[in-house]
Amino acid sequence: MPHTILSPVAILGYGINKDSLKRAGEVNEIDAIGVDAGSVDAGPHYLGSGKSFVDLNNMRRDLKLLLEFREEVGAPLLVGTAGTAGSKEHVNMVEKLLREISKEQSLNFNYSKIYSDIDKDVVVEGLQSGRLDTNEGREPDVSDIERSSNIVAQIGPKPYIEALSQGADVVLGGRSVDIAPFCATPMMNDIDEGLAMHLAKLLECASKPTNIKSGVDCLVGHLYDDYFEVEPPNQEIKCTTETVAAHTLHEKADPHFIYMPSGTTDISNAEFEQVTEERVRVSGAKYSENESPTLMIEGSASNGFRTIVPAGTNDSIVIDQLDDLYSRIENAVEKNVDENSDSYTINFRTYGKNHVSLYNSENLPNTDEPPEIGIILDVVGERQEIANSVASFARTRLLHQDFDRKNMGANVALPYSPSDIEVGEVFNFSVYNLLTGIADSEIAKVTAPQPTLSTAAMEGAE
Amino acid sequence: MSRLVDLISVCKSKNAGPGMITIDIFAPNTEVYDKIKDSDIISKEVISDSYNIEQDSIVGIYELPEVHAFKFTIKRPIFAGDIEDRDMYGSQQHLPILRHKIEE
Repeated sequence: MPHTILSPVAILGYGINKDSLKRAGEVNEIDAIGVDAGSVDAGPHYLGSGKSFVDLNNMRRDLKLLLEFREEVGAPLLVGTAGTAGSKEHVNMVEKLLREISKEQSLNFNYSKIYSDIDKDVVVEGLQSGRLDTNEGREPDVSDIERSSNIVAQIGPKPYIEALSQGADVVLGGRSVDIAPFCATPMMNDIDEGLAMHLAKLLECASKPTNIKSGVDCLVGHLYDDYFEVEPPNQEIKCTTETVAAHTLHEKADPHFIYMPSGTTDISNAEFEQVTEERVRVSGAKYSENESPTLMIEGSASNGFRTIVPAGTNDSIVIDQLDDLYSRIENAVEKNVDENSDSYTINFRTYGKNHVSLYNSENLPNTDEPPEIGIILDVVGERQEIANSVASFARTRLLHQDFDRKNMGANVALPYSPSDIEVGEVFNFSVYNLLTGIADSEIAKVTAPQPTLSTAAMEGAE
Repeated sequence: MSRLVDLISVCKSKNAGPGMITIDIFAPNTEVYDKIKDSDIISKEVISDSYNIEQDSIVGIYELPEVHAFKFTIKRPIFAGDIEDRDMYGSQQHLPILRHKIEE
């Protein structure tokens, strides 16, 4: 009998396919349900602010489906990087949803939380003893660590195993490596770690390693002693050796290795076999223990307050003199706005003039004479009022600043009234570094399992 | 003379963490894969030239013949989410290599 794991969707809240979920339960004996509930792709705002990048109504819809499904099939549900960023605040936000759904649907089960926030002192100590690697990340100093509003470590499967061993039916995990919720039950059951990690890597994006190359549908994995197999429950889509092998490149700097805090799996010699039209068998992953446990540390800190003004022009006389216009506007701001120039920054984002590229490449298309450009006047200030004042004044000059022009109406077209849009607080990654010499089990806080419906709760005495 | 984009089937530009961009290039078959390989386009010299970066900003270059693919990973000059960032997901950074010319 294989150990069978279901991954219902790439990110909790992206829309689980109900029919696929139903079929997954009908044709398989499911041993665990794993779901990745977050990502750092959406940027530092969510970790920093405690908010979710998935709308809570969408998250609730998917979570409700999973909790009901879990009850039917009787398998544990493991949620990784809850709330989309996995800080304590985020985990508690999902706990609240979980309890509300359980009460509404009369679902009684035990759940545990895992907090993966790491103490600032521990990170500072790591920095000062040279154990914070800056090769691929930031170069934080002590003040960067101190000013972070949230710092988390990407935990592996061990804290999930601890929670399950204590009797949890559902585990709400904080920030985790993407594979953690999918390789916890295999590792609890003494399945080869290499196979478990390789399968987990395929499952974490749900149906992405199928012919649709998108994580909007379910994926099921079956682990055996020497291999595993993957197949989507939806009969309209399929895994092929090509789609499964190609997935190993996804979002990884290096295609050959999969990492967790305590170990690394080498998949460079993996073999893929098409066993049915929809199902692929995979073998060949090799696990090895890390010499020293390694944690990826993510920290986010407030970086000011933003106000933007979108605008556009198709006047070549304006387009040809943008640099001149921008510097006139900046000079006017400095002369006329009563704020210390250190307390704000102004950026003019000019779409149509190769703004999108991060690199100053000569291979980019020629932008000498775009017929039309989009401008975002982008102001970030120490306080929201500063950003608003600077943006407001700069906008008046964006419209009316004189320069060598022919059209005297206004220099740009504004799409909106109000023209100035308060974006709010912005954050940036204050820490994004590997920390060696500390295990996830040392920093993870696993709460004892608690029931969703207590007698007191059922009597309404909250 | 074509550009690399004319020969490939699919590509992917994406962050590998907020400090790096990883670009995957898939050829439709072995023949095209071999042509790209022989042209030496996916090399330190061409990548650093196309992206206008130092060679030590190149984190890795990989050939994956089993899936007819090439991958290379480079550092982001602006960390994702910093004030001047203009591509949070890093998903629009493929043009410099794909617009590179390749002999037919």
